[in-house]
Amino acid sequence: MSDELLASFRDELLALVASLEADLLELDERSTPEQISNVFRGAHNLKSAAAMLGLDAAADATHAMESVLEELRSGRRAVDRSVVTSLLGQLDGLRALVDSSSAQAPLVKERLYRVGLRCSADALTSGIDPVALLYALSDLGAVVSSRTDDSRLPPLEELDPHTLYLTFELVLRTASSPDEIRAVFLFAEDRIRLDIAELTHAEERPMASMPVESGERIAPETLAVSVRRIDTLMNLAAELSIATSHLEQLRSSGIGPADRRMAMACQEVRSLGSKLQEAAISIRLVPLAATFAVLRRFVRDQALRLGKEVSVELQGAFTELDKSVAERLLDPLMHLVRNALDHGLETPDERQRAGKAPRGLLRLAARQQHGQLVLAVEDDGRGLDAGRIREVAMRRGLVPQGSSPAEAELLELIFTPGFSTADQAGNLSGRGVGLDVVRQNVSALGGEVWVESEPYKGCRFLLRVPLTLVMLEGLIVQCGGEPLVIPLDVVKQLVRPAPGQIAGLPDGREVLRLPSHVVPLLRPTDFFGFGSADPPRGAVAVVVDTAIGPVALCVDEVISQESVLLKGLHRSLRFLDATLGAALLGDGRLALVLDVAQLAARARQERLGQASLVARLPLHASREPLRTSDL
Amino acid sequence: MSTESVPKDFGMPSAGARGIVASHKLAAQLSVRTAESCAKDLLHLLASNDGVTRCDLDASDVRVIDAAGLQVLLAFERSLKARGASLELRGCSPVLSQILAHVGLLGRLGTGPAGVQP
Repeated sequence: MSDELLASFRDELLALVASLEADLLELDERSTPEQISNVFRGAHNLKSAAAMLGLDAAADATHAMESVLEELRSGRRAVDRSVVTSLLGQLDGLRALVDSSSAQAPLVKERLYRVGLRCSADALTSGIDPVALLYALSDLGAVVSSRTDDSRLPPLEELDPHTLYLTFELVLRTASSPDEIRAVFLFAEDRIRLDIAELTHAEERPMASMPVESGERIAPETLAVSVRRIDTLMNLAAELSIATSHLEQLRSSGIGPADRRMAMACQEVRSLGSKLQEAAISIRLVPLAATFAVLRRFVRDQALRLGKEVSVELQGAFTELDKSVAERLLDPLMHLVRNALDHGLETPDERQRAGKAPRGLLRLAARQQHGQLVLAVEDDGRGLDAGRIREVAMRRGLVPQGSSPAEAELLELIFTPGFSTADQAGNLSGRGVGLDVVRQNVSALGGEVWVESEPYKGCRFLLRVPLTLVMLEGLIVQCGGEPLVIPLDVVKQLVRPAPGQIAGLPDGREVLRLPSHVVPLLRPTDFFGFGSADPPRGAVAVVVDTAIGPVALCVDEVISQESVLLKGLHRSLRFLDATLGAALLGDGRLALVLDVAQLAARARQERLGQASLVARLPLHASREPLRTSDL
Repeated sequence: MSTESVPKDFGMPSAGARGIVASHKLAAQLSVRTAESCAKDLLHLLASNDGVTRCDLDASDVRVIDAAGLQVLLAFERSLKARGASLELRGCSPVLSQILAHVGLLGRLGTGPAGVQP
């Protein structure tokens, strides 16, 4: 078996572990006979898969789980929290076992063999049944495909029922050697002709759909494909788009019917290229369900440790997003959930004293909105204590004496590095390390995070991140002679400032006056050190939406709008702040892709220092926050 | 074919929108020991159902099948084809399904539900 194939089997095994874990967590909340059967089935599938991979220890461990589950199924033992905890513990061990096996050399080396079987015409009357012999091969491995050749078979009227006319061929995936395969046919060797040939992967063509374990199995609907291969496909699609642009440029000089036809052909190629890119992106999308499953388990374990009772409500688990975004979201989400458990949700006694149900609620919700993913981590706990936040902020000099920041501004402070209102650091959180990292991680994804809270009713963290980091719709602008890409989904407005519309403040900041409000103005040229004041600075102001409100970016001119393929920056350029990566434009030029949220945050930090955080908040927060009722 | 499980009506043909359909129930064992009688039964079915367009074999009782049994089914299919008719195995038992799948014949011989007439 190739390493790639082996890795694919291991992934499948881990997926079975995750599925069983989800079923067990469901059982914990809803112990119906159907759910017990689901879990039992899951354990059985896992055992078979582990055995097939040669992970005997894993297969044995699952077998032990099956014994417990059999007791639950037969009613000899009741489902309770301790049984589920014990089963989850065993599953953890199993996962570790599979994980550790990934680091090792393949445990079994399987190969593919084509086995051809031709028997003598009198084989049937000699007690030889080729079907039974072939069936015995399934003890050695998996029959991938098979074929019966009946070309020599006469119609029924001419059939001699005792003469064998059929020949057979199958492809076997096995760790056994050709000699071991041959041994299956040992007692019939004088009446058979056996051809065994090892297949290379190129020869691994299906002969016929071959369900191995039961006649009911059908061909799988999914196929594990390496991300590298998908990326290659995407890169080729992007190259196609660029080649089309070149072609369009070449033909743009000509005039006449032939050129019109050429233009139409170019347009069609471009359209096909776009569709190809979209199709490739969709391959990378995965449902959030796996991420939610990890969080659900985390909640259960930590709630037990803290002596809290918590129900988890999941919404939008099948919302899809890019696999890499899903992976990078897990840490920030885990942190938010940990905070909710440690600080937000009360113990059953505390909740009852506050007139609440003893069991707290943690809600994880996701949905797509305007081409982005919006996530909420919400609890019905005690909420954030704005008074306590103000107290700590004043003590640390984050809020100037005598100022009275609004509650929303105070809540923003919890994302300040090192900020904690907890009197004691808990095992889970409260060390003042974390929410700033959450914001940093979300920002690195080109997203944003903010918080809403209501005293005694609960707290809600909201995250907005792009669905994919691979492709984005961008506004291409010229800035200090260099092209820059601004993600289109954050662009709210384009303004060509009239004289006096841009004003300087005494502290060095600039603002753009809009008819209804004033927004901070930033110059990417200064930030990145592009060019000078030539061409005229601030010919166009691009108003973008950020976590801290609208911000205007001054650029020389707007060039175009196009879908760009986002590429990570080379290691040597990772120091560049406020960038999501680079993109190859349709005209062949390379452009940095702006991380607008980070640009706004960094620009403020640089100019204003750390002394007065409240003063650094938007001059006017006319932000249109996502309505949480949408979630 | 074992007599105890073979109905002797040999499936009266039924005419419908899809042509004339003959039906027949297979015995529990389709092996080298029963292949001859099974073949005779099926030949009789052919002879007594002239103009049939499809033959449904109820395979829900089949518990044993070997290469000889397979040959009878495939040869019967061939004869039906020569008459412009088709064969459908209906309600295959798990054993039969598994064997057919193992030799790559599951899709070819068909596996409709038992006792369901079109």
